[in-house]
Amino acid sequence: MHCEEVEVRRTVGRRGARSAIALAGFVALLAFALPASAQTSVQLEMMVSLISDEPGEADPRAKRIDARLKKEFRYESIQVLTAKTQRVAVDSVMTVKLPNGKQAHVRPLSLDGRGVLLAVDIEGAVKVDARAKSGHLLVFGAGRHGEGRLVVSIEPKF
Amino acid sequence: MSELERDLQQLHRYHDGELAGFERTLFERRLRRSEALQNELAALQNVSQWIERADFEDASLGGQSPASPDLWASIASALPAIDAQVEDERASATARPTPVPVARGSWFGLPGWVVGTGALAAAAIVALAVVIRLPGSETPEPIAQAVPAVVAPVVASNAGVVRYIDSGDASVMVIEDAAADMTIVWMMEAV
Repeated sequence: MHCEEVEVRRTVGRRGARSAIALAGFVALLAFALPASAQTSVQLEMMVSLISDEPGEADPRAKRIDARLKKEFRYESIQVLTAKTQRVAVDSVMTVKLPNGKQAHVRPLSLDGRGVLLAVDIEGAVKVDARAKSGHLLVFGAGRHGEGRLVVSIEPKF
Repeated sequence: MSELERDLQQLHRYHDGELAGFERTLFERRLRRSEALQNELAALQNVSQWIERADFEDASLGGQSPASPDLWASIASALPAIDAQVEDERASATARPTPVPVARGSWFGLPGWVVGTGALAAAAIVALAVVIRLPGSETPEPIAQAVPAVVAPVVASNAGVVRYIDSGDASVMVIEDAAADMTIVWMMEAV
């Protein structure tokens, strides 16, 4: 009788240990995986710039854009017209006004381990859905303005 | 600077081989469609050839040989291939304005009962699903890596950064440059 009780306790103990290990593993996995997916908002840095043939220096805030765009286009200067940083919840909209009277809207549609899915609507230009990781820079040509061209850039951070 | 002045300036730079990247592609599109620009380019080439011939005659005593390639001939021969490439890209793109499917209201795309039960077995399935969807497990095939791609006005894609584009009647160029961690979407102007 005494031996049977000990055996039952051992069996129960082993099962409990296995369950605890499995639960601990699951919790560890969730703790590792959830930070990116549990977020419900993303910080968006939107910038409206103007590239033109007017002589001038590159705005330091547009240095990264300038370095890449210069490989594709010939222009003399890049000037930042508007810069706005805002934390935007999923399914909310961030808007910036463009100097041509139109607007640019960005709506984060979802946010998970693969990045943030952004719906971008630049009035009079393009509508784009793009999935970007944190720090990935999205650059849009937004058409002519005066003697130059408007550039809208969006950098999500999360 | 007027459109004409800009075109002429670009024509000279094109003739001198100074245009690259987008600028060159865009200008070649305009060139294909503008007889005036083609005539101007031909005139420029004639002048260049005339100068080269004159140089050759001057230098002929030194026995130097001139090299006067017919630039337009090489361009004209390449144009059908460029057209075919553009058509191929348009054909391969899915030209349907279907929105990107976004999983909403479901937890990692799994049925609600999986999350709700709290049972260890179900939790293990959830954990497995989480692992599968961790960053890095996806191997996207970008539309273009540091190479401009001319795309149709409306394109839906399941790979790369850009998933969907609607640019009305205008064509757009997309550069997904992983090295620069940047994606450029640029509207091409009507010619």
